[in-house]
Formats: sequence, structure tokens, C-alpha cells
Amino acid sequence: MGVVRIVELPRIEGHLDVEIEILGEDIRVRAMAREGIRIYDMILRGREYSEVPDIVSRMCGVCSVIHRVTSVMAIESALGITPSDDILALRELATIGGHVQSHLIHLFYFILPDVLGIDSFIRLIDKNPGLIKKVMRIKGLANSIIEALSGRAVHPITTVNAETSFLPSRDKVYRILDELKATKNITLDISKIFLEAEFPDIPKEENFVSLASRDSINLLTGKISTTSGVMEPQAFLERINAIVEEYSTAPHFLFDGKAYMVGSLSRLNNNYPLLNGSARDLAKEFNLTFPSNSIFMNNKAQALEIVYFLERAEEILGRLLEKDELKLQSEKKHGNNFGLAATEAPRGLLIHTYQLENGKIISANIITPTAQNLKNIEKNASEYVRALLNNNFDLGEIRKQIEFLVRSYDPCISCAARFRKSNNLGKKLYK
Amino acid sequence: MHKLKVGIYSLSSCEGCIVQILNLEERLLEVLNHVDLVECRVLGLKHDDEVDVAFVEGFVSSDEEATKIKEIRGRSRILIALGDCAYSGMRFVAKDFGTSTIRADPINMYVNVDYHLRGCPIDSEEFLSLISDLIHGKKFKESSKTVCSECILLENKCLLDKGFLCLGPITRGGCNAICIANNKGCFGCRGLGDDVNISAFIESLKSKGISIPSYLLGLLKGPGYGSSQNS
Ligand code: SF4
Ligand code: SF4
Ligand code: SF4
Repeated sequence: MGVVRIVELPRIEGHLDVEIEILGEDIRVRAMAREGIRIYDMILRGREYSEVPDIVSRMCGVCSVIHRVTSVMAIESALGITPSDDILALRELATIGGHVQSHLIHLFYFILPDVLGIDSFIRLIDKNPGLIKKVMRIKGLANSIIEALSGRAVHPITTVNAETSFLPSRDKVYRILDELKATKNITLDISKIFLEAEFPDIPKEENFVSLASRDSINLLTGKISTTSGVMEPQAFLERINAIVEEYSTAPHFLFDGKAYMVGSLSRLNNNYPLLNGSARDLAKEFNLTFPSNSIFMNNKAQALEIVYFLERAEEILGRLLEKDELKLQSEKKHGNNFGLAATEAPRGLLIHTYQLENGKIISANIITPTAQNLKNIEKNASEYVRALLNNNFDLGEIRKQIEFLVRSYDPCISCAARFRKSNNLGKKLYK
Repeated sequence: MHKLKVGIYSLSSCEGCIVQILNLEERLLEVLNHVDLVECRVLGLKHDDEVDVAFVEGFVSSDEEATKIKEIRGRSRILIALGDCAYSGMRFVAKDFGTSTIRADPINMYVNVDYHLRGCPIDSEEFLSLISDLIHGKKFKESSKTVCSECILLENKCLLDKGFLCLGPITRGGCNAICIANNKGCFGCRGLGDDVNISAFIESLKSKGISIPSYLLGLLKGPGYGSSQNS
């Protein structure tokens, strides 16, 4: 039937073309990252380690908090520094702010138009201004958490660490706490839009990878949970490999030679028993079961996470406020100059590694969630095209559905792009 | 009155400047009362026709993007470059002065830029004041002060005196010294101020016993592509 090329897929972060090729029985979908490289692992070489967080945060304007925090944690591990529990709690708070604003942008600005059959969220300014204001209020709240801890919502200025005596004033914290309490029902209301929406059910996802958790859904520390068991991040790194595709400026990753999925859905599939509070009640109310094998459920998983994360923020803040003083001293042992941190970005597992020598970076590697999802996107989109063809959908309709499917992964191409196809940087970075 | 038709575009970027605009929340709704946003890929808006004002974030990293920025310029009355990516090819953030290993061209290498909003990300208040000037048909003027002079007005404790590096004395203001207010030295994301003296700055760092980062010496020869451009 031919080739359909979706040029610069609208309503995602960054530039991605999607090509659907249908040649009889042979169906291929290509996820072609078009973004030019901006921060690549080589630009970090030769830098003082202290310069790294400010640079890597610029990988992505939507998830700058987690890039910053992850780089700091990886460098701390290279230097033999173990941050105190209070520091980790404060970083988790900032991270939660980042995740909630990212999920809100994805669900409302990117996905909602698919649900409502409109082209843009801003059409709601006339149709449903009340909803827009609710979303903006919660997004503003999420950003205010980041600002309180890190000075700015986009490209945070600081990361809570042992050297920074800077802590949010109690006043600010109480204001955030009050707003968290005052907006509870609004958060539930807006999340329900996605929980009750009817999404296609395509049970094709199988390999879910995320941090493994024990007490709460881990965002910053822990082992990695995969379909082949739980393992140390280093062991995971040894089992993934990056493929350089001619058509993409982002690498495509495989685990044990197979495509896999990272993101909200993986987090909930792997840690569902830990989802508690109102998010748990909502899942029951809407008959949602995890694990789920349908990628469209990633949207519902994000909606549940918004509720879960904001309640978790309230809990952490309450706990910290009860203390007379926070312990901000970290423990320092002798580091071996190699540092690794595996965290959960809004869009899934994120790994930073750095090798230092005399305080300078001699090599760096950043593995982003979207790069890990690209092969999976291609695989599942191909199968979805086949299913749609079997049900006699026309090309126009197929195109719409594939856009919706790709968007449901919440791809972020600014982060994922690592090289230009015209040079051999890709080959150098990923042999 | 005719509402300004506005488009927002991105080249190779982190899209943080757009996120900064979205983060205006209700103040953005206020802006959208006065202008007509017709094109913006992240918001699903497509227009492909003439606009009064084009905001462009990101730098040019390929011939394709060079063509794209020319095409956008061709159909916009006023073109505004957003952020350090568009202004200098992100050199003031990455401190990658001189010859770079990747192609990261500021957009005014290809087209005429009417106004720059500097910084990484852009400053929300500065964005709003530019919008207001445009709505009222006025010319926008960027801050001619340095970060340092803004900082002194705010009566922050000077970080240089505490022995920390701060690029405030050579950096263009307009951000209200936000980093210093957060207890961190300015790292110069807004580029150089007018007539700043880098050698004198290096000397003063020496006299305070602060170690000189090697990129400052590189900057003495100019930042590379993003250097003398100023609209
Ligand atoms: S200037 Fe900074 S915030 Fe703006 S697009 Fe570039 S990296 Fe992102
Ligand atoms: S802290 Fe920096 S910006 Fe502020 S007065 Fe000192 S040098 Fe200037
Ligand atoms: S203080 Fe310096 S680094 Fe911070 S925003 Fe202003 S110009 Fe940029």
C-alpha cells in the first residue's frame, strides 16, 4: 500500500518523524529522531565535575530536574559520597515536582486532544476554561515545589547537597503544604478524565524495566527490575546494547537482544503493590489492573502517578517538618572515580555514568528513557498497523492511531538525540 | 484592533524556553487574550502562513534547519530568538568557545533577528515585557545592565567576596541575578554585557584568589560564532 511519513509528529517533546511502510505482509515502522545533538557525552569530557549538572540539565526542558539530580548522584558515587536520608528526601521532593509537571504537560497538552478529538489544548480556553485553570493550578503547584528546593522550575539552579546550606524557608514549605491540601479534589478531578477515558487495548507490551522498589515507588535509588529478574544497575548496563540506525539521531537500545519498555507503565507494573492512598482507590474505582500489557495504559498510569506523587510529597514534607533540624551532612569514603546513578525520569529509567580523573570528566554516558523505548515503539507500532489493516482501517485513520500510540509512550527526543547521522559520532559512542 | 498573529518554533533545542512560556500558567491565558497563537508544534497548532511575530528557540544543526529558519523568516514580520541556543548556539551554557566539534549555529548566522531574549531558559518577566511592547507597537530594549549591577541593587552578599566564582560582572542582566539569589554564582547564561572587560575581570579574580576557569581565557578571544552579534 505504500509509505506514510508523519513529519515532525506534533504534540510531543522534540522532533520525531515516524515512517510507516506497508509492503504486502511486510510492515515496518521507523522511529526517526530528527533532533540535532546538543548535549552529547563527548562535550562533557575534560570538564570539572562541578560543571556537569548545569550542562546536563539542558538536555531537556521538561525533565531538567531529574537530569540534574541524576548527574549529581552519579558524581557523588564517583567521589565516594553517600547523601543523607534527608538530602535524598529533599531531592525526591524536587523530582516529584518535575514528574508531576511533566505528566501534566504530556496528558493535557499532548494526549487530551486525542481523547477529545481536537487539535490543541488551547481550544479549551473557549470550550472549558475551568478545566484549563485547574490544570494550570496543579502544574503551578508542582513547579512551586521545584522552585522552593532548586530556585527555578526549568533548569533548576541548585541541587540539594551537603555544600548548599540553602533550604526552603518554613513559610514556603507551609504554603506548599496548604496548597497540596487545598487542591486534593482538583487533582482527583483532572486525573479522572484519563482514568475513565476509553483507550484502545493492544496487549503487546511485554518487557517492563524500572527501578525496583521496597517501601514506596523508588525514583532515585535501587536495583533494576526487569522481566528476567532484579539486578544491580551495572549488571543491567552489561546486558543492554545500543543500535545506531542510519535514519535516527538517537540510538535504539535492546536488553538481552530484545526491545523493552520504560516509563510510568513499567513503574506501576513492577511496583503495583506499593501504589497506595487515593491512587490505589482510584485504580480500584476504575477497575484498572496492573500489570497491563497495553501501551495506552501508560496514560492512565501517569494519571495515577500524579495523584500518588502529590500525596507522597505531602507525606515527605510533613515528615521533614516534624524534625527540629535536617541532617544535611553526607558520608564520605574513598571513591574509585567511577560513578553511576540509575533513576526514574518522568519517562522512565535514566542512567548517567561518569569516569573522573583529578576532578575532571574523562568519559560520560547518558542513557535516556526515550532511546530505550524507540525499538519497542517501532515493534508495537508495526503490530498495531497490522491489526488496524486487518480491521479495514484506511491509511488516514491508521496514521492518527499510530500518532496516538507513539505519543502514549511520551517520547522526548531532545534527551534522546546523541548524534547526527552525517558524522560517525554515533559509531564512536556506541560501537 | 487586529490581534498579532504569533508562531512559536523550535530548532535543535531542549524546548525549555517554550516550557518557560507554558509555565506562565494564568498569565499565559492573559497573553492569549491579546495575541492569536496560530502555530506551535508542541501545542498541535499548524499554520504555514504569514505571522506577525515568530519566536524561535534552538540553534541550527543541519542544512534542513537552515532552510527551516529561512522559511520562517520569509513569512514573519518580526522574528525573536529565544534563549542562549538561538543566541549563541548554546556556547554560553556549554562554555564551548572557539571551534566546536558539533554544528551549533546561532540563528542570526542565517537570518536577520529583530530581538533576542537571552538566557537559558529565557526570563519570564522579560518575555512578558517584550510581548507587551509588541502589542503596543513599541520597540523592545534589552537590559543594558550587567547581572552584577542588578545583584548589587538587590543587596545580595557578593559571592566573589566569599571566594566563589561568579560571572555577574561580565554578564548581561535581565534575570534579576536569580542564581545569586539562590546562593550560586552566575555562570553567564545570558552572554556578555556591553563593553565588559574580561581581562580586568580575570585580574580581579586573581586578586581574590579565585581560580580562573580555562574557558574564560578562551572567551578573551571572543565566544566564537555568537560573539559580536547583537540586534
Ligand atoms: S536556551 Fe536553554 S532553555 Fe532555551 S532551548 Fe536552549 S537549552 Fe533549552
Ligand atoms: S555575587 Fe556576582 S553578581 Fe552579585 S555582586 Fe558579586 S560578583 Fe556581582
Ligand atoms: S544569574 Fe547568570 S547564570 Fe543565572 S540566570 Fe542570570 S545570567 Fe544566567
